[in-house]
Amino acid sequence: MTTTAVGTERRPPAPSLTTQDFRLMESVNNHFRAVAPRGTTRERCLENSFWSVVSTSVRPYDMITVIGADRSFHATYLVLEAGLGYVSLIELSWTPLPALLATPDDRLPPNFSIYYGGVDDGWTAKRNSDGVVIVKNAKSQQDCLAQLLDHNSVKQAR
Amino acid sequence: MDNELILRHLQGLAIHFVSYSGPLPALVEFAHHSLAAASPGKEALDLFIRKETNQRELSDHWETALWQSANGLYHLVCITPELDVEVARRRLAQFPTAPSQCRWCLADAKSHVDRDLVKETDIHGHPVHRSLLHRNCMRPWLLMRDLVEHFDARNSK
Repeated sequence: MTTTAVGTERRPPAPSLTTQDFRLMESVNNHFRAVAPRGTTRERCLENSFWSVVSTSVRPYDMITVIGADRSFHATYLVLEAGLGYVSLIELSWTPLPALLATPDDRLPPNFSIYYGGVDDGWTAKRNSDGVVIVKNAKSQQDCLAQLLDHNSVKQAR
Repeated sequence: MDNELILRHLQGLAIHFVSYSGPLPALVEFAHHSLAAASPGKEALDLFIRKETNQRELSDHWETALWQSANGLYHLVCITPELDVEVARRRLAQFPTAPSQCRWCLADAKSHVDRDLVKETDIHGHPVHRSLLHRNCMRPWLLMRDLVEHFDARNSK
């Protein structure tokens, strides 16, 4: 006759939530939005002194969304601890924002220009060095730029 | 009737006038003369300009805003965004003479300010002082602001 060994140790039940643990987010924590002044770097956002004036308004596990005043980045932070003059943050995301417009500085390839050539020609892109018209009859300036960037002669030059 | 040709000529008119506001018959006359032999006739042009889908098509694909304001005048405005940073900076620094003017197209809404123009809001959500624009003019204006901000951000590093 075999006997099965019965374990005598007691185990606590697996942890589970109670109603006290489960509350509406808005009643406990806040989600703040901050506009960082021009020239704020990614490292500066994590420094204590950057938040020293507002640190008393945030509580642990609050979220802060930071937008650069120069529209250059968007970032989210989680507050770990906060109090008078100090705050500890974890960076959850940091996204550089692109410019909405293609400026001649960054997207328009050098040696090309875009101009309106009248009703018959529409928006036109021209190569400056030899005056060859690359794109003709584009509906708009942005359309013209998109067609120019898609053109083989520009692609090869890159 | 060649719709694209009419749209092309309306765009040409908008670029020529930069910002036009006037009664509809005058605008129809301009379009009629611009189209010359290809014109479908003044009545057809009148209907074409009134039609909202054509106005939407112009603003979506042709960088041209066409709408009727509260005082009954038709506006034809070129909304091609500014690409020169220095020109954009100068325009952003200048204010129109009357407080009821749109900052982009400078058309005076006079007593219809509340109906025609909307306030520009800055990144904090506060209205920018003395900065009112038509809904159609808002996009190129904000693009211009974005252009200058990004240029400064890139060059300050």
